[in-house]
Amino acid sequence: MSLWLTSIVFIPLLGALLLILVPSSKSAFIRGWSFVVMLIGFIVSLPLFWAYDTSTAAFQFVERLPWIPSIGINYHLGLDGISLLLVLLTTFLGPIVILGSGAIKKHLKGYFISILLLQTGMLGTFVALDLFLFYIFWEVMLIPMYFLIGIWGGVERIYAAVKFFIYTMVGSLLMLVGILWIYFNTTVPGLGHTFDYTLLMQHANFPLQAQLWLFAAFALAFAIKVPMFPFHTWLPDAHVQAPTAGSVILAGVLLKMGTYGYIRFAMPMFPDGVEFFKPAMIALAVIGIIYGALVSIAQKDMKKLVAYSSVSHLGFVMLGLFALNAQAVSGALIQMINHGLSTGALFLLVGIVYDRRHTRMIADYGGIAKVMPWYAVVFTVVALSSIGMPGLNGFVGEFLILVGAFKTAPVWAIISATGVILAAIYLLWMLRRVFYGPMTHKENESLKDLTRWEWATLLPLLVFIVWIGVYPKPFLSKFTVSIQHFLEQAIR
Amino acid sequence: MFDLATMQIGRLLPEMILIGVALVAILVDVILPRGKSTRGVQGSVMIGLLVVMASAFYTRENTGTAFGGMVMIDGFTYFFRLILTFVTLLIVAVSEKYIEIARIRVAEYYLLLVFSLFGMLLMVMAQDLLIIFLGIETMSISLYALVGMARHRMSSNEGAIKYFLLGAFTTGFFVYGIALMFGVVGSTNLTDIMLYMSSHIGNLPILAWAASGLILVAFAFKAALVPFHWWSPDAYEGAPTTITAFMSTAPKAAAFAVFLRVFYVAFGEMSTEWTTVLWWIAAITMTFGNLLALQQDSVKRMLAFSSITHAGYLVVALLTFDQIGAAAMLFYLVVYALMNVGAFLIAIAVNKNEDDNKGYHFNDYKGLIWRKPWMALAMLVFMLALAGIPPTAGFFGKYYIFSAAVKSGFIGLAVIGMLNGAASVYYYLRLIVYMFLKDRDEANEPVGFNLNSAMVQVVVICVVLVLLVGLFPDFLLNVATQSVTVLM
Repeated sequence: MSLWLTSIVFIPLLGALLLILVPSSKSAFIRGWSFVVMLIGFIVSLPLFWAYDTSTAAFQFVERLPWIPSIGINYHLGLDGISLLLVLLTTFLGPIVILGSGAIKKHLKGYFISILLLQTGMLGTFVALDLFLFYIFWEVMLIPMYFLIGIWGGVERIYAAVKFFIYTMVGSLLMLVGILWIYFNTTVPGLGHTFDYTLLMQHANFPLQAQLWLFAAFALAFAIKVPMFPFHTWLPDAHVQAPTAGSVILAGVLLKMGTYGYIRFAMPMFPDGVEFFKPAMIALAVIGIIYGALVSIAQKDMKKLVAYSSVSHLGFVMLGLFALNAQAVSGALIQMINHGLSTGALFLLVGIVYDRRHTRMIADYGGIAKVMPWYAVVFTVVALSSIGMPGLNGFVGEFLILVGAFKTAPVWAIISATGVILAAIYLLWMLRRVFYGPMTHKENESLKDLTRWEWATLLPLLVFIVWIGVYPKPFLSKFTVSIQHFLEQAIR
Repeated sequence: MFDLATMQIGRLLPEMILIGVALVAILVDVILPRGKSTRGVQGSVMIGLLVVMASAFYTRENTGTAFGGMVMIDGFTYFFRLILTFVTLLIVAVSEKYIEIARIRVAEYYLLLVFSLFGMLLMVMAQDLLIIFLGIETMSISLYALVGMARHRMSSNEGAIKYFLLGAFTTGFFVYGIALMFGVVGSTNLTDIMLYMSSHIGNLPILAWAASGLILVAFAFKAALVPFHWWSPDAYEGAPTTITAFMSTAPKAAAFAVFLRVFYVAFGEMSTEWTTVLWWIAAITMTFGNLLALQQDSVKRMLAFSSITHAGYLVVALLTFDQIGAAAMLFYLVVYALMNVGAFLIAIAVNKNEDDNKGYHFNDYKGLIWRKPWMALAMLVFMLALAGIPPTAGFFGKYYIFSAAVKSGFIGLAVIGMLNGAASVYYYLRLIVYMFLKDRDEANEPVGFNLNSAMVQVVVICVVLVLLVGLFPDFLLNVATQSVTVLM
């Protein structure tokens, strides 16, 4: 049994523990160390991409050890096509997030320890194959994120941090009751009760009524995380108050834990629940798409605009998942990755001008393309990818989702397609007001263009934004088989 | 052969040693010169308690009844002997600095702790209602005095009087319950009561119900369950803080231990009916404790009120009437003792004013992480544990309790409990907000900390155990499961 996944998950934790020993005055070393730890984590995880066998839907690189044998809890990790790209996205964003933390000056050591701990929690969530272990990672990751928002955030940071924590906690506790119910109502011959995901999938058989409740309990926890309309209200607060790196992680990875929860647990485990709640879920997803986009149009704050656009984009992902056909689900999966890349990049870009001007208000800018030409180019490319322009990554995901959704729910698909147009409106309108037109504020005349450091942060993201847009096949092919398997389980 | 590990009298060795410890401590107090005596008493009590634990370990195989069936020494007794003595030992170890600040310069403080421990040990071995009565009274009378020990403070006196009056009243309930039970069964022995009940299934006389109800009231009072909790806020607030830490852990554990033994062994046949009552008590206790704790601006009061909520969780474990629930209760009692004692210790260390209504304010914690990082991190662990967030022992404690509830089909109660858990996150998190997220308030922050090496050591022990049990809960759970097998 290899310890590959374990080392990927726990390298950041180890880095954080060693960081405790470093005196907090050595700020350059702390930054460097965190970057190196994240980079090692990425390098260690990268070969997974090639080592992964795309011909099977079975879990690979499996590790399984008894953890709390008296109640049947295992330390059980594994990877399939669905989690593979999410793990890679997480490790890929790790070093970028560290590079994007240049503006952090206060309590550096605590900051980087939190980021590293968060990384372990997120990676663990994506590879855990024991319901209990999954729950532990899911909860543990709350604490560092809470500190990231609450200590290094903006003015209203405490409110945002507490709201984030309580929202997520309420949802996940109900999920815990659901997990317990599953545990006591499934018996594996020869083993008794179990939390093991693969065993549960083989032996669990819940009556209809129970499935509806269980799906509701799980779906609520995940819906808060995604966040789906109407559980999204914590997100703008958290995003706006969080430091740039916190927003990147939040948008890039944390929200994906919600959609991942659906595709890994809520949907395949309770197909009857999916059947029953499908219309409602699709309706909420589409409401989220339109509502998020409309609210984005009205924003005066760039970061808030990007935050609300996440609600809209994640609505597309949910629509894709509940359309329940191969195209739509592949679209949803690739859209999860795309959103991580594009929105992550957008938050980084907003952070860059914020560090220079200490304002995120659109009205405080205007015509800055003249002084920051490269910045304007990069911002435009990323915004176009977020809108879904052909040739960039966003198009691939949204197109697949819409095509798939059209097959099962044409009316909803048509309505949600307007979300793409609305995205073009709010993003292009923002671009125009920020970059073009006359220079209205004198302070903006001395703004510096992208530094080398910032290029280093953004370039890797740009590479993948273009790559997935032009040639998505290597990525899509990773989860084709896994999605077939998922659909067999989730469709009753 | 004179071997205490096998003789019947040896079953009571720990308690006999404990009496010896008390007598020695009194002598030490008299013999040593003034000024050194408090220290001497503390030292001798600590050594004595260690010997008590060692003797309990030594005689652990020596199980059975003693005194003609009045007491029962079994795995359950052994578990609680160790836990209760250990908690008392922790409290004794950390008290030196505090009683100096609170101006309690008397050796009686330690002696009363020993006496109340003796009462608790009687409670957990009792196989007869009269012995339970003796145990409860021995424990309570010592506690009444301990609560009032900080006589310079009005609140301490007030708390002691309230606790005493209401406690005396409850004693009346309990004695009346015993009398009625004797009238029905003709004996006060738990085994006799059980035999009587199992031979009268379905047609139990109304008096038996009245008797068990009165006994339930008495236990609910001792465990501070709503609506019999009214004494606890005042007593907890008024008591010296070390005693608050003690009262919310050890005597509560002892009360739940007798609760468990009496209701599982003697009243087992009535479990269906009492479950309904306990269901409501649990739901109300959890919710009510939370509502009170939510409003507090004093850390001491917050911890005191939230202990009512935790008692509610324990009732959830109790009312399942099966082995998993009982084991979950034992597990939680241990974990709760560790995290609560730890939290109270930090509260003592940070507190700057022992006077009424001035100390223990949340504001004192502003930016603690930047002043005393290790202390803030320790408190973080305790708060997360109390809130039931992994990977701490508090999470597993809650988890086991609610899993027992789900197993027995009390899903509604589990949901209520979980929601209460989420609500409690708010006020535990609030302290974390003050410690980590708020900036330092240099003008008003306390100067220095009330900390000595013993306190540091105990805090470290608590942190390590809370995290260790949180990552590897198997050992403690197995021990707890084995300890309750004798009741099933």
